[in-house]
Amino acid sequence: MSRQISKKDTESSASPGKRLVKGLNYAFLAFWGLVVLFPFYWMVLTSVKGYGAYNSEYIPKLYTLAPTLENYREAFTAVPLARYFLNTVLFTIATTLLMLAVTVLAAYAFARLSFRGRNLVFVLFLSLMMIPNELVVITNYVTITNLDLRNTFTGLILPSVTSVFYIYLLKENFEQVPDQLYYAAKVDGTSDLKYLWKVMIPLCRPTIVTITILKAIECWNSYIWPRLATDDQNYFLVSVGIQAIRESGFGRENIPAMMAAVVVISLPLILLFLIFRKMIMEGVSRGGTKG
Amino acid sequence: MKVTLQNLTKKFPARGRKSRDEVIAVNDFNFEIPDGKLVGLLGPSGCGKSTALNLLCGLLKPTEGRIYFGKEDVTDLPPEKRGVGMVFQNYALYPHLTVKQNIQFPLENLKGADKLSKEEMQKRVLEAARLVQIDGLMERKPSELSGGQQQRVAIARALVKMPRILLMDEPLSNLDARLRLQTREEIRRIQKETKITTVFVTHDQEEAMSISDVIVVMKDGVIQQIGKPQEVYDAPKNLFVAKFLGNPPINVFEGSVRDGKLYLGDAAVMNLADAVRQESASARENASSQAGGSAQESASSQASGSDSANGAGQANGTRQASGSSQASGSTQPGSASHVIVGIRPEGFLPREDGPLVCGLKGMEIMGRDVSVLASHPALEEGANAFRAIVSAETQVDADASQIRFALKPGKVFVFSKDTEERLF
Amino acid sequence: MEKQNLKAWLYLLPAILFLGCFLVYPLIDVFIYSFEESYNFASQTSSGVGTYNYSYVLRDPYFLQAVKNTFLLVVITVPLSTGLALLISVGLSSITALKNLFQTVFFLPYVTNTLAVGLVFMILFKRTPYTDGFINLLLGWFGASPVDFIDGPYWAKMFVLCLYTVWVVMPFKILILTSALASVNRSLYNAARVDGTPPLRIFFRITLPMISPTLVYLIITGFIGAFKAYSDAVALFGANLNAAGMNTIVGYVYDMLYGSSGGYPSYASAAAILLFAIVFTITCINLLVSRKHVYYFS
Repeated sequence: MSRQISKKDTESSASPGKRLVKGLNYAFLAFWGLVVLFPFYWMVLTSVKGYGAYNSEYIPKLYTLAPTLENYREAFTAVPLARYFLNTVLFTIATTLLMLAVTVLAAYAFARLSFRGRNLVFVLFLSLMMIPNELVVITNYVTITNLDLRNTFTGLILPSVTSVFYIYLLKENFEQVPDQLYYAAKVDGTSDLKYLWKVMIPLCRPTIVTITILKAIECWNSYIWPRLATDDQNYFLVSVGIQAIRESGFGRENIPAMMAAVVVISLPLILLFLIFRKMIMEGVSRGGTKG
Repeated sequence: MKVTLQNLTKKFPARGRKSRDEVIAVNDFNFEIPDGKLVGLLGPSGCGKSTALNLLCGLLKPTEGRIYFGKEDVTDLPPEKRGVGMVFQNYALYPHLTVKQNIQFPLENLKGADKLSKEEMQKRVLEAARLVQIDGLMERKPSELSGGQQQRVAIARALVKMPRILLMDEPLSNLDARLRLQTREEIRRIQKETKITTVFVTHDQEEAMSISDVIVVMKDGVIQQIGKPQEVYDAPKNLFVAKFLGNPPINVFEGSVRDGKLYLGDAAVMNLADAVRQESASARENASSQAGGSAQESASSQASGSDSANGAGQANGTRQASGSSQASGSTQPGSASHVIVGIRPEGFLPREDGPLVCGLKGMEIMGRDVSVLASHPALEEGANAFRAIVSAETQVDADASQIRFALKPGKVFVFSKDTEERLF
Repeated sequence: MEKQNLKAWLYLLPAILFLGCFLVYPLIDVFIYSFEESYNFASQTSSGVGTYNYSYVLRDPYFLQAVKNTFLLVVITVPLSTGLALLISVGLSSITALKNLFQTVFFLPYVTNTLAVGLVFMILFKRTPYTDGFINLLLGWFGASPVDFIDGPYWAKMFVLCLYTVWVVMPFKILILTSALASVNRSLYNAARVDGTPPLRIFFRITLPMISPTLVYLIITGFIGAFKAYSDAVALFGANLNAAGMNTIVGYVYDMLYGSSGGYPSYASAAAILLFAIVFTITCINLLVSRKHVYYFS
């Protein structure tokens, strides 16, 4: 009653058969861990191999004794990697902030304000969740082209802002804030906007942080829209940039430098993940999907 | 099936990195559950009663000690080989299976010589369902049943494989008050019909008292007292047991013993010598009326903490003997020894000339009885009133500011102030 | 009340504007495009209304190749990744030591850039005049002759594509399944143990039914996701997927819209709508089948 029986408590006796199963289990998990980690290892390893050394290895080596940072210099000088990077940071921050503003306002309206047709509008919003991105991207491309917004940040950002799912997620969370707080604030003469800012947002911070992180990941990795909306490499984001590097690259097939670029691109999100691991995993299990 | 626990101990490693103390959830249990009895493990939450149940079941392995079912040592057997049926606190019904499939589930696990044919299974399932009177609900899913019905399904599922021992973890805690009354009678009936030795865990003293043949009162992993419910109620071994049993709870006073008399404040309220005489008479009566009281026997010897291997009957006497010897030792003529006094609410008799003079604070009419709220300076710290239950026929003047009580000897217990063990 | 009404709409305005411009209007428009015949992107005129775009797309060998590729990808990766994720999650749930470490590692692919890590896979599998690549080295140890997985035979390319897709979708599935497994009431397992249920039977009779709603969710989202595969293929085989013979339906849509072969939004629209007709149908079938076999909590 007071003490849950945990697995550990119940499995005190380990027969040889059980131990074998346990060992196999660990081996299996370790194997998958290796499959996951190996590409990362290979990417870092290759990025520190010298250009000459890499190309002379007919049989690839699993280690290097002469690590070099030359490739990183190459990646930043031969291609505008820093520019891609900066573009992506700007794009991610701007899109995420805009998304937050739009989402918070809409979620607040649905959760807190009463207006005629609220339920109907909300159902319409929800039904929008089912519209796949691939369908609307065609018209958006035409629209942005006609408005002469290709190769601008406006054109990159605007169609990427909204996410119905996040409005839904935040609305659910807002609704858990007790009504009394709202009435108390009203009695004190607090405006809606101030109440939203001072009470709702601090109370629902975990959800807001979650959607911020999820949106940031989504922005950082987005490929399809940036590819359609830009063909000037001054406006490339990292995904498009790395593809450009792959296709025309460093003037010659310079795989170590390419891997250095891949490391640079991958690092920010991996760091973000290691710092906010719990929050990200919780957020994703509450309703993120890849892409 | 007789169940014997020998030096049964379960320690849990400390939780958290800082605290080093391990938790002893079950501390050196020794007792015997006679065949075919209904035993209630009773105690406040966190006292280790569920751990004890899980040890019996085999879901937990003891740190030390042995468990015997009959003559067989089952300590190292996994739950499935012990032949136990378990009713879990939240019933643990498989939500995706129908009532029938739920009850049948344990039978489908039987292998080899025990394997049942389809017809046999059907028969057994139907028997079990009939026993708990849910044979009309066989095709329902658990979510379509009321709490009480789910409880019955859980019991049927535990009984269908004809266990040697039936274990129940807080069987009534998830039911509402009305269903609880009904279901506890039901459990009693089923246990009587099947005659399966049954152990159940509860924190509700009323529940335990009402249906158990034997209750085991626990606190902090240690058995406080074992016995028939009425006997434990009438002769609690220590202050904890006295306080834990009884509703409304026992009233606690600070008193003193001088010259064989019990004082509350300045008033001598009772002559202890009389009380002892009266009680031992009733105890002897109890002991002789109890047939085959092996639980009682081991219970009391455990409870008194003495290793006396004397026979039955003597067990009850042991406590009194030690009680009176202690009393005489501490009541040197003239010198007062301070004690804790527990008086059951029904132990007060309103009398014009009663020795206990109290302030009258209020009365609650309950029909059959009257509950009198009164104050007395000797009440334990923190309490400002005590409750006396008196017969409605007794004339009590509700407007009076004072009320005087005489005390019924068998309802007054005297405890040592240091050990809280009972002296009288 | 009127004031409250107005205020609410004001709060909703940004969302409505964004969704209207970039979600609702495009959705309607894409249907219109798909029925406008010989639409000219430059002059924005069309010669009429009809189903020509659809019949063109359906006769286009590139589209048929893309459909074949996509279906193969779906049929292979969805069961494979779901099954593997289930195995891994069950393995994860039964350990205590190192569990956190494993969970963290297994989740890593989720936060990586598909395009970037795809390049790593590419160089691992690619065979060039200078090197056979790491995978061929491994295969060589088992006595297999080297294969170019990136520019070589169709099956080899499909193999890499499937492998990479599985690698990318696993973190999400493992995460969801692990939390589903953790949420199964432990007392059910205890009850089953007391009844002497063998481990395999516990898994099939209790665990699997209890997590079946999650499995169905994963299978359906897996189908939808795999039908929309594109970036993985680009990462491995480059942007010109038609030339590589590895295009997917989504890739076909974009190629029709943009790039060297692009400029045909009508064909792109028709292809996109065909894709979603397929996805919609298959999702409906999935739901119908699962309704019969899945236990749902009420």
